[in-house]
Amino acid sequence: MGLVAKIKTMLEKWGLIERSEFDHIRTSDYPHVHFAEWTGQPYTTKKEILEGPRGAEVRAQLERFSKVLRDRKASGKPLIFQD
Amino acid sequence: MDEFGFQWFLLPLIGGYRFIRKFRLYEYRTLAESGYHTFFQAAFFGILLFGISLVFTGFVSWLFPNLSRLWYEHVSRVRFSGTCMLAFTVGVVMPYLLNQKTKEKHLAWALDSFKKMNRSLDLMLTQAFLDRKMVAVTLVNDKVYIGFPLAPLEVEANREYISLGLNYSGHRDQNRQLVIDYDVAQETETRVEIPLDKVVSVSYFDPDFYGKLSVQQTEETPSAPM
Repeated sequence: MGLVAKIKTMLEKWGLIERSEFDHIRTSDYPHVHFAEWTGQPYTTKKEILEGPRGAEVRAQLERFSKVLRDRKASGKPLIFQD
Repeated sequence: MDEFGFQWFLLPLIGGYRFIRKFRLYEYRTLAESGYHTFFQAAFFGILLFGISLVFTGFVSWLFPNLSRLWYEHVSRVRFSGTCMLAFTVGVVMPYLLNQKTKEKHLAWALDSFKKMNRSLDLMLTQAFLDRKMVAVTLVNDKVYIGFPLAPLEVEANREYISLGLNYSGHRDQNRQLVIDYDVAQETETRVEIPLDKVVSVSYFDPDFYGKLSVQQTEETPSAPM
């Protein structure tokens, strides 16, 4: 355990800082997320979602739903969805 | 006799502000919060930077008295001016160095900031865009936009916006049911900015779930009497 981690564990034990529920999140696990230079706000783009590492899976999911819409339209059924 | 210039003490304060404004751990909270809270936070970090700089300049003056004399004779005769200047420089430069070293934590810090500030909509939108999930946003005029959130709430000129990578849109009918009649799912450049004050509700939208539900509804719908 590194020095920083040891100090952090000690401060948590003394109740001086709280353990964050997001501690396990690593930025590199989400390659489609970037940070705006000026505001520091995380952001992504639709292009990166559709063409990124899981893009094929996401595009297939969208295609399935688009097909449902097309089929309903073609058969003259209403495009109403209960939610 | 040495002068004592209070104006020099603005430098650690500005350094403190630059530190909380640019270091990712505090950045989002500094932007979202304002007024006295930011001022006192900047003052706290300004004092901290001044203290660290004082230890450093004290040590350097003791080690290299000529350097200290050089500053006194050629730059400023004001007491602590060098320390104040160093505090300002550290406050400006340090966030960039720390940000480079802590890249892996930036996302966790942003989420933690939203949680601490009770920004539940920010949390929802962020978790949706981390997991590449869609949300359905219903507006006051019954228009419905469905897409990927591209950021947490965007704040611009005190107005908050939801930024969506649009996939589908539609409206609520007279029975408040969702009608989806526009499909741009395969387009990559479709984006819509929705002012938060025009939003009635935001919910997760799972296309597979709605697709299956749609098929079930179609099967269950009795045929019209002849």
